[in-house]
Amino acid sequence: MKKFVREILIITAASVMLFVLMNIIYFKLGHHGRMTAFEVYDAIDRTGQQTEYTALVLGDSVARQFFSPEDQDESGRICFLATNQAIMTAGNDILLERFIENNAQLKEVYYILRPDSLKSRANFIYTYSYFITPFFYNEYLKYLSADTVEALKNVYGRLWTGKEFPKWFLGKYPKALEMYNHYGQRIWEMKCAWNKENELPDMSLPYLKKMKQICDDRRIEFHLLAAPVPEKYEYDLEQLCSEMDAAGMPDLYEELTDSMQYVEGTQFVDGIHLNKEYVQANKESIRKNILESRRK
Amino acid sequence: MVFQSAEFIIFFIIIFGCYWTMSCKYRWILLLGAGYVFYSAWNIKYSLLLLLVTLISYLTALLLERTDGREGREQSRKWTLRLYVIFELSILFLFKYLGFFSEIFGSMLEKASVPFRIPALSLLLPVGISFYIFQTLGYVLDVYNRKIHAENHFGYFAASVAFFPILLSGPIERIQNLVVQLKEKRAFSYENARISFQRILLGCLKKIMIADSLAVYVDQVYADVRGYSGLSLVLVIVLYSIEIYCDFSGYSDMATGIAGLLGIYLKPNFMRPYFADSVKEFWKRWHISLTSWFRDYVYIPLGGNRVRTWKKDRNVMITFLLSGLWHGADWSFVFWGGLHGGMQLLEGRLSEKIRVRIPRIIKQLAVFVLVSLAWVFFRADNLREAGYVIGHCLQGITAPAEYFRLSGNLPEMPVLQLLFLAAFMLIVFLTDLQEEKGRVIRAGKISVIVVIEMALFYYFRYGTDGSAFIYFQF
Repeated sequence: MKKFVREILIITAASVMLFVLMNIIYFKLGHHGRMTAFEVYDAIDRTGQQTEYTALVLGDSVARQFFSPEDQDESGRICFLATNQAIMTAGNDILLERFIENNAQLKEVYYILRPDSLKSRANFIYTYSYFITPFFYNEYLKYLSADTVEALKNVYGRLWTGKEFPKWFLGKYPKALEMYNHYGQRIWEMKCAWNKENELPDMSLPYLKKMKQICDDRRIEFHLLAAPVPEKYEYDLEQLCSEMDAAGMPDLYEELTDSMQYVEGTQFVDGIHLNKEYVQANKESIRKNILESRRK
Repeated sequence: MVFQSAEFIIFFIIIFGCYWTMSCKYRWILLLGAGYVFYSAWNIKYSLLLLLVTLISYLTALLLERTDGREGREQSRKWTLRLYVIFELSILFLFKYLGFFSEIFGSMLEKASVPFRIPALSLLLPVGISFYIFQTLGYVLDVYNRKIHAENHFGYFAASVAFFPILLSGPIERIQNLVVQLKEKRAFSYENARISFQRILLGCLKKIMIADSLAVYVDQVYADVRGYSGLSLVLVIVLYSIEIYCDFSGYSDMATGIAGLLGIYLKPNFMRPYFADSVKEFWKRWHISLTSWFRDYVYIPLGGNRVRTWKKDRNVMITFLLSGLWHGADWSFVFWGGLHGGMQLLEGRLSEKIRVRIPRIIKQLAVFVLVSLAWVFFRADNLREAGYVIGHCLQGITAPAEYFRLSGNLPEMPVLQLLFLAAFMLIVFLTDLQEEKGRVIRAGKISVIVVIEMALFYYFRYGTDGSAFIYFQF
């Protein structure tokens, strides 16, 4: 039995060590990031470039179906940088501020998303892959409030937010992150009944307000517009209205709801994203409709 | 607590350590306790049901044995058995089939305009109930038929019924085989443990890497089959055939391997079923423990094949219809069973008439196609959905370019994931092929580590939520 147990231990230890070692080598060779949230890394790169665009589109993955950098008309005046709702408004704020720093000629900003994306809560898994991994560097942390940074460090642990390799590893392997979350939370729950996800900070409306403020200060037009939703869209808009009123943004709420476009439910593949055929056939017209729905 | 969970791994390491360090005499106590802890992890109340079934089966078998050979007691033996069978089937009926039959009865009453509504009972189906009911039923029937002696020691008997590697989803191992092995003084065998460990790894590969990955795609399509047509449906039919094989044979491999690590040998439950060259042979290779149960306790008592042709055909159909019903309380399962019975009868007739020698590979492919089409009825939500899948899978084939283009509406899979999945399937296929040729697989340490590396990468990168095994629902 000893021989068998020894063999199992050797195989297990060798496998785990080899796995970690291979990842360290891969990491050291310079293959960083761009694993799960490739569109976010791409957007970060683009916001660091000096261009001649005078308008910028930010948004969620539904907006990305119409405003993806892949659809970018290089000679046009609008820069398409819609990414994913998982970066939340805080991530879009970082993209906006970086873009403004490198592109002083900016005149208009269109923040396009489904109303529910606007209020999407931070989520342990997605927030790590889409926000911590790409954005949690000193050069971007300056755009976030000290409270947000501190809360995120507390939730994910300083090792997993600060050190490069663990951050890259968890970002690359979603299941490892999920297991860290699952078992980590269980251990925490046993110790002090603390659910980490509840500790995640609000990274939506406070950052929307900040985006608007930054644009107003620089005399840049800021528009909050809706991405297409199904005819039977069930979301508590009244709640959103009262929250945006309370946050002092009733105008933005009105612009958002006025711009809502409803599409037949059968055209959605998962109730959120439109099917490829529909997008292909209607891309230009929907894009035009969205942009023209802004308040003049 | 599924086999592939961290909880089970910890649980098993503790059991494994205690089992091999304690005296053989007391191992049944450990296994009995482990079985009930394992089962209670699903539902503590239903472990009482397991105990009740175990106790009644044990006492009935003893009673049947004690009254055997006594003058004038034959009639009472028969009645004891009848009551016992009614008890066992009533439990199964109550938990598994009541809803189904109430629905049928209710619709009959409605058609006859009888103003009576059957109250709906929503009972949670106890996991593994079909398996342990069949296991105990088979045991008592064997005692009644004087094939075996009743077990006197309740502890060994109960530990065999609650043997945790097979408790939830089989194989339906004969109790006497387990009792004999539990009583034997077994020493740890390095060679046996090594083979068992490799069997578990193979099972994990099949279940976690292949079946769970394919399930994401299959489930998505079956959730809205009418949104798909043509090649997409053909692909999903094939993928489900692979998924269900990898899921259930993966589970069986894990169960066999876990039992093997405890020195208990379980009979193989799968023997490369997709290598079968006839539907009849397929059933000799697929879920062997269930097939042999139906053969021994339904088909043969009905007369088997030693009767006139029409009676033999009837026996085949009854056996397969019951087998279908065993899988689930739904017409689609019954239809699936009937389909297999019908295919077997047709196959028998054709083989008598066709004298041309058909290459084995062609026959194997034909069996795979037929079995895969039958799986549609097994997987679809109802007969209508299954009919849609079968009816639309060749839609547009007359325009091949368009037909292949339509497959584009299947959910996409990253190329790297696809490559890994293909590599895992190749490993399973080659392993099956080697075993089909009668070779025993003994992988070296290096190849085991390479496969584990691939599995680790795949699992952490693309791993799913680790769904329960398909056969748990039965």
